[in-house]
Formats: sequence, C-alpha cells, structure tokens
Amino acid sequence: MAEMDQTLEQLIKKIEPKIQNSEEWEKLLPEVIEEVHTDFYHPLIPKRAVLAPRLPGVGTAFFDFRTNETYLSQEFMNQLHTEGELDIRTVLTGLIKHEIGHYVIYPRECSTLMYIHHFAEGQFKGHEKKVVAYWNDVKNNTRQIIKPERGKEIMSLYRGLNTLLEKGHIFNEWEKKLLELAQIDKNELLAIIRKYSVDRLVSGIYQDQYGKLDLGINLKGEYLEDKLEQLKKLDFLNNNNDEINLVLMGNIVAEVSEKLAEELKPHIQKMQEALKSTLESGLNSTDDEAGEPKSFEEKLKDMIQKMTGPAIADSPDIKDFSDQQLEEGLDKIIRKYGKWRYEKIREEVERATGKKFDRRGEKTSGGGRGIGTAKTNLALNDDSIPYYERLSRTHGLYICPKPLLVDVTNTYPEGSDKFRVGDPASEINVHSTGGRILPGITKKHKYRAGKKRDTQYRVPDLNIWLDSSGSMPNPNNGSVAVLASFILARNYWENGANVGVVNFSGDSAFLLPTRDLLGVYSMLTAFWGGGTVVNVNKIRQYLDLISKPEQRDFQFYTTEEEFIKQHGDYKRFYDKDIEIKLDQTLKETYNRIDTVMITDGGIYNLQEVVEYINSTAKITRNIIFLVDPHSYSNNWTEMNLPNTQVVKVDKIEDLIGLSIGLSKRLVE
Amino acid sequence: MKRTGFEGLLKEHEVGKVEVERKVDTGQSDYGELMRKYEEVLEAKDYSEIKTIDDILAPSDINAFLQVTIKYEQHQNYDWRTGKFISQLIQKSYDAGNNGFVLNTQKVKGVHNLGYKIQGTKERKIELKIEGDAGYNCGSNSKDSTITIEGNVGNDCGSYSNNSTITIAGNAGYDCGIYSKNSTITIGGNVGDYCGYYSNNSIITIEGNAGERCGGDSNNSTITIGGNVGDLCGSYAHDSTFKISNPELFYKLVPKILTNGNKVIYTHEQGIEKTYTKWRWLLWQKWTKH
Repeated sequence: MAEMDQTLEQLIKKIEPKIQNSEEWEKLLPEVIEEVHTDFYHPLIPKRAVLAPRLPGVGTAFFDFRTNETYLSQEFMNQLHTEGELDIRTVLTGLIKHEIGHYVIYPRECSTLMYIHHFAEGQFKGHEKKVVAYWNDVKNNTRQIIKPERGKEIMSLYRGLNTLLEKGHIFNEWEKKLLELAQIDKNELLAIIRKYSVDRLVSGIYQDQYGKLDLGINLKGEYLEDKLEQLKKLDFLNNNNDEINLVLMGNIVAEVSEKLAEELKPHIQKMQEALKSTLESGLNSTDDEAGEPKSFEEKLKDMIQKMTGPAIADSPDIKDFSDQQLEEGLDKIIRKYGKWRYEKIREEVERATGKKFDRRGEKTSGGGRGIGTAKTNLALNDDSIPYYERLSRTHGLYICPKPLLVDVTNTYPEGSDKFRVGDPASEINVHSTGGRILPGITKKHKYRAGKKRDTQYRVPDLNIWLDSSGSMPNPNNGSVAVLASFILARNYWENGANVGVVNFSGDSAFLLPTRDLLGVYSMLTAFWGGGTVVNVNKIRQYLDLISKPEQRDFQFYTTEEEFIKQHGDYKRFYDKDIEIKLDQTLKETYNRIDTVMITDGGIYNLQEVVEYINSTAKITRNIIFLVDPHSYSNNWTEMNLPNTQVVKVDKIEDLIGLSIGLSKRLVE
Repeated sequence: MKRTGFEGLLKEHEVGKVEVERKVDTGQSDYGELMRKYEEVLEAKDYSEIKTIDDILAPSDINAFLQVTIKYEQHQNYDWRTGKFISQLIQKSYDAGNNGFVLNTQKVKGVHNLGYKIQGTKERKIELKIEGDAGYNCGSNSKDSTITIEGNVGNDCGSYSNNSTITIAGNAGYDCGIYSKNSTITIGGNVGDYCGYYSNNSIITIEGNAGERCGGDSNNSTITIGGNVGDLCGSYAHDSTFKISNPELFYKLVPKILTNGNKVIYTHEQGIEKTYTKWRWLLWQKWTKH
C-alpha cells in the first residue's frame, strides 16, 4: 500500500506542473491571439488557436491551411518555458506569429509551395524536404524579424530553442532510456548534433543579420562558421532571387545534413539494435503520458527528426491543402510557368496527394481518325486538352449579347376556373366576386404556355475558324491560338451557346455547332501542319448545313472525300460565286452565329477570304484574332474590314480582359 | 443617448505605429551580376553581341546556375542561348583549373548547345556529365573533351567534335557525330539520319538502329551498328570499317559498301567475327556459287 502511494505521489508530481501550465496557457491564449491579430490585421484568420497536449507526428506546432487555425503542442511549449528559459507569453506569441506567418508571409500560397517542392526535388542529395522546411522558415522569419517590434518574440523563440540545444535538453524520458540501453554517450551525441546543427546555422543569420539580437550563438572557429558567412551573402528579402537563394542555401543545408547523417549513422544503428533486442522490455511503458501510444519505430523516427531538425517541425506540405486550394494552386502555376512546367508540377502534386487533377485525353498524333471513316492527316492531340482547359478557365471574356430572333415561351389566359384555397393568389380574377375572395365561388384565370418568335438580346452561337497550318505553333508546345480558341469556346458554351469549329490548313476539318464541349476541345487541339488556304466554298456549304437541321446527322468531317460523300460536290454550286446569296433561313443562320477566325494572317487566298468576310459582315459579327501579329498585322489593319473586330495577340497576357462584339466606338 | 460627432468617433482611435524595417546588408552577391549578364544574353538581338563572360564558378555552382535559369524558360531565346552561356561558364571554370562538370537537366526544359565549343587539352580532357536529356548541338564543336549524356539528345550531338569522347545512354537525333574527327561516339539507343557522316578517324558505335546515310562519306572510321540501318549506309565512305551483327543487314550492306578500301566485320550468332574486304567477298561469292 505504501509502495502504491509512493508511485501515485510520483505520478502526481510528474503531471502537476503540466496541469498548472495548461491553465495558464489557456488563460493567456485569447489575449495573445488578439494582439497577434492586431499585428497581422488579417481578416481570414479566425481568432482562435488549438492547444493540444501533444501533436503526434509534428511535435511542435503547425498552421492548418484548410481551416486557417494554429495548433500548438503544450508539451513543446512547456519545454520552451521551463528549459528554454522563456516566459509563457513570449513562447505563445512567438509560436503563433511564426505559424500565422506561414499563411500571411511565406509560403502564403499553395502554388508557391508546389513550385518550391518541384524546384527542390532531386536537387539536394535526398535532403529536399529538410531544405524546403528551412527555406519556408527563413523566408517567413526574416520578413518578420526585420521589424524590431514585430519580430522580437520570434527572435526570443529561437533563443529558447538554442538554449534547449546548448543545455542538451532535447530528449524525453523514453529517448534517454533508449540511449542508455544502446550504451550511447548522450553528451557525445549532443556534441555531434550541436556541431552540425542547421538550426544553429539558420539562427546565426537571424542573430547577425536580420534580427540583430543575441541568441547565444557563436560559431567562430566551428565547422559552421564558413557556411554562415556564405548564407549571409543571400538576400532572403528579395523575392526575385528566390530560386538562386534556394539553390545556394539548399546546397549548404544539404551538405551540413549529409555530414550530420554520416556522424549519426552508427549511433542510430546502435539504437535500432537496442530496440530490437529489448522489444519485450518495459520500455514501452515509459511514455505516452499525454499523446497516443506509438510504435517504437515511430518514436525512433521522431527522435531522429528531433536530432536532425528543423527545431520547429511545422513545414507546410502539399497534402495539407484542400482539393479546392490545390486546384487554385495549379491554376496559378499554369498561368505563370507554361505548359511544360505545369505538367511536371501537376504530376508531382498527383504523386504527393494520390489524386488526379485533370481529365486525361489520349494521344492520337499523326494520321489519326476522326469520328468519320476516312483516314486523315489531321493529328488529334487530346492529351493537350487538360492543359488548355485549365488555362482557359483562368481567363474571362465579355460577350456582348446581340438581338436574335428566338423562340420564346409566352403565357396567355385560356379560360377560367374556380379558385380554391392553396391556388396562387396572382391567378385570381378579382372582378368575379366584386373584390371579395370566396374560395369555390371566385374565379381564377387558367393560363397556357405558347411559343412565339421574338427578337431578344442573347449570346449567339460561335463558329471558330482555327488556322492550324505549319506556320502556327503546334498545340503540344503551348499555342496562344489554341488557348484563345479554348477561352472563346468555353465562355460561349457557359452562356448556353453552341460552338462549332472549322480547323483549316491545306484541307479543313469541321465540327458543326454543338453543346459537346469535349468534342469542340478535341477539334481545337487538332493540327494539320500544312499550307494555309481557307476553303471559303466549303465553309459556305458548312453554314448551309447548319441552317438545315435535317442534314445534320453527320457532324464531324476531316476529309474532302468524306464531305463530298455526305453532301455532294460543293464546287458545282459555288466555285464561281464569291458573293453569298442568302435566303431567309441562311440569313438567320449567319445572324445567330459569331464568326471568329484565329490565324497568323498569312493566308494564301486572302483576297477571297476578305471578300467573304465583307459580304457576311452586314448580318454577322466577325472577329479576327491575329496571333504573331508582327508579320501580317498591317495587311489586316489597312483593310479596315467593316463590322469586323481585329484582336492582336502576341502573348498569353493579351488574352486577358477581352470583349467580343464591342459596341461602336464614338471616337475613332 | 449622447451623440458624438465624427471628431468624437476618432478621439478614441489611436493611429497604429508603422514599424520601420531594419536595413540588411548582404554585400555584393556573386550571382547578381552573372544573372544580369544572362538576362542581357537572352534579350540581345544576337548572341555574338554579348561580351565574353569572365565569371569563374565552381562546377557545382554552374549546375546550380542552370537550375535557376528555369525561371526564364518562357523567354523565346531561352532554349538556344542558355546552353551557350552555360558552356562558356564551363570553359571559364575549366581554364581556372576546375574539371568534372555535372549538369542536371531533369528539371530543365530542352536546353540546346550544352557543351558547345568546349575545349580541353590532350593531357587534361574537359569532363562533362549531363544527368538527363540534352537538346540540339550537345558537345558540338567540342575539342579534347569527354561528354556523357545519361538521357537522350537532339540533333547534331558531337558534330564537328575533335578528339572527344561522347557517350549517349539514350537515343540521338539527326547528324550525330557528323564531321567528327578522332572522336569516339557511342549511342546506347537509336540514332537519326546522317550519323557519323563525313567523320574522320572516328569510332562510332550505335547499339540500336540508325537512319539513312549512316557513316556516309566517312574516312578511316569505325562504325558499329547493333540494329538495322536506313538506306545509303556507308555511301562514299573511304577506308572505313563497318561492324555489324544483323544477318539481314549483312546482305543488304556488304555488296554496296565494300569499295574504296572499306571493310565489314560481321559477328555471327556464335560470336565469331569475320572480316570481309572487297576481294574476300568476291571470293566468297564465287565459292558459294560452286
């Protein structure tokens, strides 16, 4: 009984200070959060933080990018308070500022983290994760400690961490016991950790250069001295130098980490052996006071992490973001870094998260088959669709509605019926009972819906003439022309319009206006790579087809033979007939379609095309996108085409803020 | 309720203190000036306009610099000029006593001209290893150099090389090793047309298939073909040796190229090597007729 009391007393002694501290932390937390919030002034961060007895797998603190909440480990804070000689307010403020800094300062955005992970991968001898973790911390901390008031708690936090290392108070009871079992001299091990500590190195920059406050770090005459001098040359505040700074810092961190790993290797081996031989001993019962029980391997892993750093193991990972954040991140990547880099980064994100982010198309290049039966030279590049689809999503487009003759639904009173309770009050014939509503006696109007033709402002259908001749960039290499066509197709489609495509080069492929957006995308990424001739007659026939719905059973044409087989030889009717003659149905067809031609302008039968455009301009809106506008832009501008908008596109940025069907300018 | 005016509202409000940032002196960065020069190179109308680069970087720093260039990869001149710039850095570094250059191209998008015009000495060859793929002109016009490419290469790899050893683990494009002199070029995969064309005293080994005119117009060169070749292989070659092991190729090739002192060494399935000169071939034909 006496023994039992003694054990209980010991247990209480062990737990008591933590209970007291827990109350203190909780009491102080709202006050500190209020102060930090005032400092950051960021409305999206909730004014709360989660205090956990221990954070499994992290150990210290972290910022949850999904909920914008900060998680703090009480065990870690206690250690900083009692052994790191910091007052509890400083510990709390420093940690919260550091964590919120990851959201407000660096990496701040999911896309930055994706890019940095991608950039670092494979570059730092297997220490990539560590390099990125230190990089995130340095970028975050330097921006804060450069301001004396803002950064003072963060500086103190690092002083506390250094004190822990100097005192050798980095191991918990279980870890100490493991060292004993493995017969490892704790002081010898601590000397190695101290000698090759990247945390000391990084804190050295804070102390000497950015924070200008004594953190108790003196690297003179040590292995790290030279490394510190090299790091001091890097300007971490200049975001333009991020890549070079990351490489240079990463090389140093990797070199130091490699040395540390080498020195620690025999000790870790000893620990593993000791663990194996004493698996059945009472080692397991020495821990798990506050957290969940862990396997020995996990505990050893935590211990190794503690020895190798970083001291605050809170580096955000791609897995920490929600699907929506990842999608938005990829949207930013695609706009900033282009097709090749985007595809690489997307693959890495997919590997890291185990999720798929883009719908995949199949590669059908060279002599691919369309929906039709004949063999063609048209190369379908469906594997490029996801790239253009995502990139086009990040571009808006304003389409001016135009008056169109459309079928509208109209209601008219057909007769009357008895009004009953529950019928809509708007249908009551108030005159039937002299203004009084008497259910069963009062009459109500009976309505019927009917259709009629009316002119209303609507977004018309779209017909894209896409030049895919050899002089145009191949869709596989990131083509501005294809991107422009995707932006147009997507925005018209979102507005309920049908989209048709004429993909022309020496020959032409057609897709009649449709709501099948994937089919449209497939046609837009297809590539001929030949000469540039617009077969105007074929286009007329195509528009004729649109005007006769009964002929539209066959939708996709990629060869001349296929077209003639289905609809007869168009040349018989049109070859000598440049100007178009319009019957009423055809006129309506032209009227309800916006025609957009995307080309580099170098068209062989330019005269014929211009005549065609002029003759249709009276009834339809023509828009010409000139990609690579330097070569032929003057030819097109000088023509001064009526009712035709000419948009010059040189680079992707030129596609931002576009408007289709601009109202007439008052001043030329 | 007592009403307060606008001034009253502001009375309680304290203007927050705007904190001044401390000044940080990082000194002159080694890379700042180099980056500026590189940007100049990208922007210049013509590469030759640019003054020579005097910066001397350690081999690992040159690789670090290559990685950093990816932020410029969307520039229209990136693909062609970056490699030339890197090659110049390699040359400067080599001249200052460094060697053993390693470039990691796994994260870099199609850089051409890597190892272009690099020159070592007979005693101390310039060593360049490319971890990943290389674009066009890799090791082109190189002299006294040893270039190893762990991936694939584009066209003109090792063209006009002199006394160089170029090893390609993957496939190579057109014109690989054309006009090479005293060089050893090994291709682990397939190669395009004109491989070893006009090569002089060179050893060219192709483990896979080769395109048209392989070893055409070569002089005193040894060309080994592991797979098949396109038309006109060895046309107009002089005193060159063609090593083959494909029986189909043997009958296709031998009657056409055994002129001008050329030889064919055919390795049978059993591993036995037989050398065929023009006269031996005629004799063998006569003997088989009987």
